[in-house]
Amino acid sequence: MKAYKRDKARKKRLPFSSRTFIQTCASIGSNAHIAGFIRGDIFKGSTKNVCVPGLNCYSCPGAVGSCPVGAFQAVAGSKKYDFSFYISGIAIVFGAVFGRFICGFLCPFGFVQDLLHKIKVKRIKVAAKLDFALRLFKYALLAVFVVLLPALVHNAFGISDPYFCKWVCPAGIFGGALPLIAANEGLRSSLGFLFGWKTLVLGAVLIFSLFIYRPFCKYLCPLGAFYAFFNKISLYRMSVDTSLCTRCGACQRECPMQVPIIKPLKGSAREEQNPRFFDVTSAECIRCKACQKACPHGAISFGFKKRPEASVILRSKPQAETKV
Amino acid sequence: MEKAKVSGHKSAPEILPQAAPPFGIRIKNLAAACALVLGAAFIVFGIMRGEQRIVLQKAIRICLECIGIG
Repeated sequence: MKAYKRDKARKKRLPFSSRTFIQTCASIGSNAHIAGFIRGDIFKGSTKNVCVPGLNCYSCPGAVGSCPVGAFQAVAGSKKYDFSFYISGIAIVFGAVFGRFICGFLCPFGFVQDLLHKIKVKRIKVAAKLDFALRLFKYALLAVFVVLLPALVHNAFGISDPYFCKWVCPAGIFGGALPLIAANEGLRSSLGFLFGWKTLVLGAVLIFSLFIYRPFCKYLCPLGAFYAFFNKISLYRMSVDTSLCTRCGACQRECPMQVPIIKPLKGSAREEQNPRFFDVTSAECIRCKACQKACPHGAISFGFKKRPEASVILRSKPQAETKV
Repeated sequence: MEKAKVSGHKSAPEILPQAAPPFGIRIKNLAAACALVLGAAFIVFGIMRGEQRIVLQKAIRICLECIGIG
């Protein structure tokens, strides 16, 4: 409740949300090598040993760290190894601490999609079944393009392509290719079919971002798919104060990721026998806090908590003055 | 079971005492701790194998595949 009041007070003072501020800082922090944009070259410092938490191509002129997806494929596609324990370990630690908070707050490419979605156009509502099927696609991309293909398909020298980066990733074109070819004439003369294909993918993602909230994060991002596994256990958690919640459904209506926060329990038909619980650990939740803002009672909070009041099962009919 | 008084808000819900959370908080904390230990072990093992050198070698050169050239 305190956090709720604090956020409301802060909202009155700042012309932008604290989330936008953090996203801006994270994007600039991940791409702090400003000289690279001017020179048309990339950063070569030792900080590139380590990955940044979000999807940020290491061929971006400003990138000061490695992209987890690209780095994993680099190791798995190398002659020596088929799997990267180092990058997996870094991603596991990020996931265990933050979960998909990284997608909501720290990913530069997610921020780009957020900014585009602020443009007022008529939104597209994807049919529930199609939406569900498309969301599974990112897990397939993670398994096939990021893990299996670099490990199993090698050329004559025993080296594998970074398949996801090469054929799918629009962040490489957006953050890497466009700034580089703008400043580097040598690269401009080398453009071909692959560049055309990836520009098409980037264009589609950016255009769809106007109509659908974060289409890349929902349907294509293998890094988001990886962090999704950790949303259930991550130390950064969402919680619902069940004594304040009136189950008005405002949180669900405002959720840009369409996460079903209040769920009926399975196996009961009648309303009286159909208690509901708050699912605060959905793999699709990017911890954007839109639900927290929407909640008129300040029942939702986020943070590193030992005992969140979440996932408590509620009876449908409320009663006053109940001792538990 | 810890006694907690639910406020008399008109539509405040009743919390079922016998209801167990779908994913217990202790299990969550334990799983997060296990994940952190596993992650740290993976990082150390990866460094011992010299993976960070491969990452650096790749990251300090322009990745032509990533930018749609190679």
